[in-house]
Amino acid sequence: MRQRKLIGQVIQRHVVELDRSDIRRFAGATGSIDQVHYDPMAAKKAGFKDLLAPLAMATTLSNHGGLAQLLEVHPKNILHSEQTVDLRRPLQAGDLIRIVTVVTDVHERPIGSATTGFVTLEDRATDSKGKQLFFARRVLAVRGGFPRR
Amino acid sequence: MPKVYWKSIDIGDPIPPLSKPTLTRSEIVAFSVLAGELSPLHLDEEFARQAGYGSISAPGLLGMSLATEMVERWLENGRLVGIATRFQKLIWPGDVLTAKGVVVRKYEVGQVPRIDCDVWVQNQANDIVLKGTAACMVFREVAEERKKKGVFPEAPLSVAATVRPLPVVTGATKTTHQPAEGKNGKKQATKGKAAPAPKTAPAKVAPAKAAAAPAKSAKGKSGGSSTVKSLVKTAASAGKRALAKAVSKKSAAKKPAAKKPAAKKKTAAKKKPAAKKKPAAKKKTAAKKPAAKKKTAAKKKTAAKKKTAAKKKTAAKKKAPAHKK
Repeated sequence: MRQRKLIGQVIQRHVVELDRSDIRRFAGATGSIDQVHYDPMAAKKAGFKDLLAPLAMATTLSNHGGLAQLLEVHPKNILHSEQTVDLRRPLQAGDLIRIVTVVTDVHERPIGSATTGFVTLEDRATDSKGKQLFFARRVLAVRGGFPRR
Repeated sequence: MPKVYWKSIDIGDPIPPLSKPTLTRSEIVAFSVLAGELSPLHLDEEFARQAGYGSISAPGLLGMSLATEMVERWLENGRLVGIATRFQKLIWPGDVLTAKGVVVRKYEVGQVPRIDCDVWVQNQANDIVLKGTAACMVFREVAEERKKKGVFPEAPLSVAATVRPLPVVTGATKTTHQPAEGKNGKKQATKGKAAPAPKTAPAKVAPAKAAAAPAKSAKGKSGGSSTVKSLVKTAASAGKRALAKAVSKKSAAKKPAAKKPAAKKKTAAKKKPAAKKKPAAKKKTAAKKPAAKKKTAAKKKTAAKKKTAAKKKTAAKKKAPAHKK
């Protein structure tokens, strides 16, 4: 399985700046009612320097667009199986976030009579000073396993 | 909601559930774009149907965001610091999702009081679409809350200490069997444009124990291989051998190791009973007949041996071209 060569490989590095409008839109889409996501004054009262980003937003900051090509599988066969997020400090508006996405595992295992592939990606995010912000782990399931052409 | 403190929380305390109104296609598309989940399975209705799903499905993060929102509403004076979730079933347009949770653990990390909650999201059919654990930080008591201004400790926390990892599933998980539902989806798509509902039976695992118990029920059929097999069967029954060969060649190219042993097993199964039956028949005749008739019995034996040898030869001839293919 040649996809195992991807283990340990950095597939993406990018920098994102969190702005207030992004936080408000995401909080609105998730149905959040906490004013710390909408009102800067409420956020400051709660002890934050600016609007607080919802925890789930940490998972949306990385972009895994070219993954299907990298794995040589059709996008229709990729399903999101697991997601983990660990916050080291709250994400707030104005944060400059550096995200490095690494492939940490690629394997196959039989599920019933069919084989399913699994890919684990880790997003390691740091701030502009190099301090850890969050750690997100995403497991993707590949229907039918990986191609062996 | 009343404020939550570490001292007042007990293990087993439920988190007030949070429901989401009926999910629409436009909501799914909007959330997918916002969350950067740009898979056509979440955005393109036609693509999703052709891929074997009845309709577009929502990204798992939509369920996760509902679970986090439930915890955040409950923890008015605390914070969610981590979550680990496993997506069990697809979320379809028309689903009514409800997030639920329960406190399962109280502990401290560097003298910072923490609690873990089991969380899960279920649809209108009470199927659990997502389950996981959430790690939360709370104040120990009212006095501590008054002293502190911020809600997060400054010291970084180790990964292991933040979110309790999900149990390792060695067997089949429901998540990976979602593709099998594509067949249902296909049928529904041909019937009409109604939103597909998950047809699998509701999970029998108790929600509080759900995170620890791996899912056992699984169909385990991949859409691709089963369609190839069904194609082969229909072609053979109709007498279209040429078509069947063409399809079987394709499938053999994909799974050469899987088909050959099956063919061998069949031939072996045919041979063995025949070999066993004949000696049994010989014994019976030998016991019944007197010594004078031994000659005829011997003749029969030789004839039987010759027959079996001839059969083996013909079988071997038949086998040989099959292996060459």
